[in-house]
Amino acid sequence: MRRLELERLREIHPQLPETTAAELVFRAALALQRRHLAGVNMGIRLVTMGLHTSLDWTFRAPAGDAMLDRHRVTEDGAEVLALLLVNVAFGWVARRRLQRGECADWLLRDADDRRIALEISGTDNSDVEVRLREKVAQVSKSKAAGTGGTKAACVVRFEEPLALLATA
Amino acid sequence: MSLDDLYQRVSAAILNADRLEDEGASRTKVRFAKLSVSFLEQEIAELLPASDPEGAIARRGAVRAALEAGVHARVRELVESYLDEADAELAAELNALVAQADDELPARDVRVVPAATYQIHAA
Repeated sequence: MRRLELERLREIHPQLPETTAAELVFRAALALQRRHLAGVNMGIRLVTMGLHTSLDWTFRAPAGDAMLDRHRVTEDGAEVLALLLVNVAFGWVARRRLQRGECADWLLRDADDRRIALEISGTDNSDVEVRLREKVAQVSKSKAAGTGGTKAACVVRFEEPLALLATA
Repeated sequence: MSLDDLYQRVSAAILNADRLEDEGASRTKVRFAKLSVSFLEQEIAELLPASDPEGAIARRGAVRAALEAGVHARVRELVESYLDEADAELAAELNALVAQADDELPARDVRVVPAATYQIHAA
């Protein structure tokens, strides 16, 4: 799979507000820079298919890093990687953010205008398989995509970059 | 405002509210952030029918965010206005949110007890 360029998040998902996209990418860079440099490989498992890609971003000076909630930075970083991944893999484009009660984080559309409810979770070094099962169970309850829509969950780990995606 | 504009705004507002909540901001800040989400969801609901899944998301969202902002009167007003066009499933979800608001009412709302004081003036 071709590389994922974090700086292209807004270009790929134009429905993301500019400041939101910039903030998310900043946090993703901080989450990655805990251990990695640009160009690091990320393992991917899309449903049953295993792939690799490389991650590119512009280095961010971690000024003010200590003020940010570490868990939140990890979650925001996972959102960036997941949103880039689903676009490159499936052409999904973000439509809007969902509130927590919707059992998914984002509503997206595919090239045929079908809806996808996507739940995203990030972890620094926890077991992603367990987390993926939890998130698939969560998104399976979502009604955001409507009848016939797709429900998917993506879990990202930063220690050795890895992203797993499964559908409910 | 167009739907695309509203979607951008509501996405930013939801992320902001979630972040404030996660980072332990004051209850007042979180409530204001949730209320902003509720108003934006309400505007989206005005553009989309309840039968559209995205219209249903907006209606649930307007009510849920008002509930989380602690504005129970708004919860009831919104649900009343949405019930006419809601199908059975959406109506059940909206009514469940009203029930939740009613359950929370004694613990969170301020009760104003009317009181009068009298002062007798010398003629």
